[in-house]
Amino acid sequence: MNIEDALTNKKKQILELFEKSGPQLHRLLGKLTLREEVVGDLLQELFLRLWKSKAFDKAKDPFAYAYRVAINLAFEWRKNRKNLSRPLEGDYPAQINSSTLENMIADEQLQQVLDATMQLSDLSREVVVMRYIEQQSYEEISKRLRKKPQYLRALNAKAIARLRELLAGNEKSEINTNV
Amino acid sequence: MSKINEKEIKRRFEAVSQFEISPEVAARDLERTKESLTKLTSGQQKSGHNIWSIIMKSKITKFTAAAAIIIIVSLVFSQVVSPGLAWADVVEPILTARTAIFNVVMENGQNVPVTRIMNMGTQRIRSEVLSEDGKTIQTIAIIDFDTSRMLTLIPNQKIAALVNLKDLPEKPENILEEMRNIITDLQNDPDFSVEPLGEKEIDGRAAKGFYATGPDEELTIWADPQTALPIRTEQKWHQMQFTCTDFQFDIEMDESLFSMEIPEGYSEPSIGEMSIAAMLGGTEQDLVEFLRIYAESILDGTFPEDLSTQVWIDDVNKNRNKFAQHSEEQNMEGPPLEFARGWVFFRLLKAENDWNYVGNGVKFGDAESPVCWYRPDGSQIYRVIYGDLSVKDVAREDLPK
Repeated sequence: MNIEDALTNKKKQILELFEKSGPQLHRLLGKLTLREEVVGDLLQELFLRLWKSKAFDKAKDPFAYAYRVAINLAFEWRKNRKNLSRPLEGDYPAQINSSTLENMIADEQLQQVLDATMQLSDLSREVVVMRYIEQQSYEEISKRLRKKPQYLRALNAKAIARLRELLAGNEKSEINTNV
Repeated sequence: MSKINEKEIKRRFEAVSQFEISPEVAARDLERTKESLTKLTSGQQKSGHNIWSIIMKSKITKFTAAAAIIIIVSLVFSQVVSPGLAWADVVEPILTARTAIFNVVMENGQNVPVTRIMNMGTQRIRSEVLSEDGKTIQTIAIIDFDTSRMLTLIPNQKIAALVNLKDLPEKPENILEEMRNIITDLQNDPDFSVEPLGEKEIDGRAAKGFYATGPDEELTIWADPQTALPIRTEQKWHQMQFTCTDFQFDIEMDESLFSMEIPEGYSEPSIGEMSIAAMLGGTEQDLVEFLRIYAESILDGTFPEDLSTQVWIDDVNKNRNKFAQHSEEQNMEGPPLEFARGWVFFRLLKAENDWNYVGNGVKFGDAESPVCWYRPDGSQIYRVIYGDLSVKDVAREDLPK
């Protein structure tokens, strides 16, 4: 196959993927970032990466491949966001009512669980995302990741134990800070 | 007692799974992505390439090339190109040479590649990373400071990459002049001292030694007593050690060695850019990322024996398939920039940063065992990185024993 033909095939493959799965990948990025304003940029970055990727050309299941790249991309964003985050000064509303406060706490709790998920190994992170955020069965995850369901269950149990440790650490440091 | 139990974690994930983007925003995002995808696939928009994606095209050369680029950057752009600092007569050739050739090895080790550096005049450098047996050239980088460009060639793959160098920290007007500046600075430093080491035989040649120290470097130089030309220098600069040998000064070199033309038989070059400031501007976070990739992707969940170049190259050679697989799964075309930046970060720590690596045998994820620590500039408090890659502030008296 010459370069022109290969490019034409890839163009077709990637446009089909976008038409068929673009909305689903967009939703996934939304759930993993919880920030509506960044999802558009991440979706563009995702397809740019797929376009540049040679591994994508060889992927047996292009959607599964794109799905995993999307997870990695969202957690990369999360890591960079954490590195860049600085305490805000003077940007909070002068008065915070109880409902605003509750929303802030709830949002922070969700961000914490995702930040903790970021610290899991790549495979554990994918399993946790597919199981709890995408609410897929172990059989579905097994097909996508090509691993045995029993192994994935064990991996997931270990991941939850690790998340408990990580989140308990957060809780402890918050208590210390508040004290 | 902690409220974070399994049920609470699942409750939070359940809430995350309910997150929804408004239909208007979703429609706008999808439309924008479709537009950019159409432009991209029809060639209206060129995708940007960075140095890694250009160099790392081949799995076979990926690691060698990565090592080469990091070493070249460390050698050339950290302004540590000092093939030999001897004193009085010994420094004379360096101070007056128009051209220079020498071999450099970062640290001593059996498998550490030799890099041959050639300086032509003041603005052009060619570096060749040699194979273990020294018989073949694995990677060539030709740098032209006049045009801020670097041509990288991988001869056995016939791959060429032309890189525009951005953000040169201080564009050296003259590489040899830089060496001379280092000598002059050392000589002018009140803490500078030279101690004669007497004579010994090196590679079958009689040599006279000097040991010099400055605020951040130690230098041992062995020179020919008859000609005063340096034979071998051993330099420690921050956390880096270089051994330079096979010096030649003021010899004629073919202009073609420094040409930016793509040699015959090579592929059409990829064109990209490399920000030197980004490469050299590593942070603690890059170091953490370097350690994570090393433990998780190159080794099997443990931290390396030490962070020497030899151990790194040995580890990479032993585990190259694993890392190649990981890179593919992560859609990475080679080690990410953070890896190089993390490597450069700790290498540039100074003596007063009191860098210590104790990660040998520590398991990735072990929150109790320290892997390394250092003291940031101007701080009395140390930063300790643990096996789970958490970083804590620790007073000197509380450092791990």
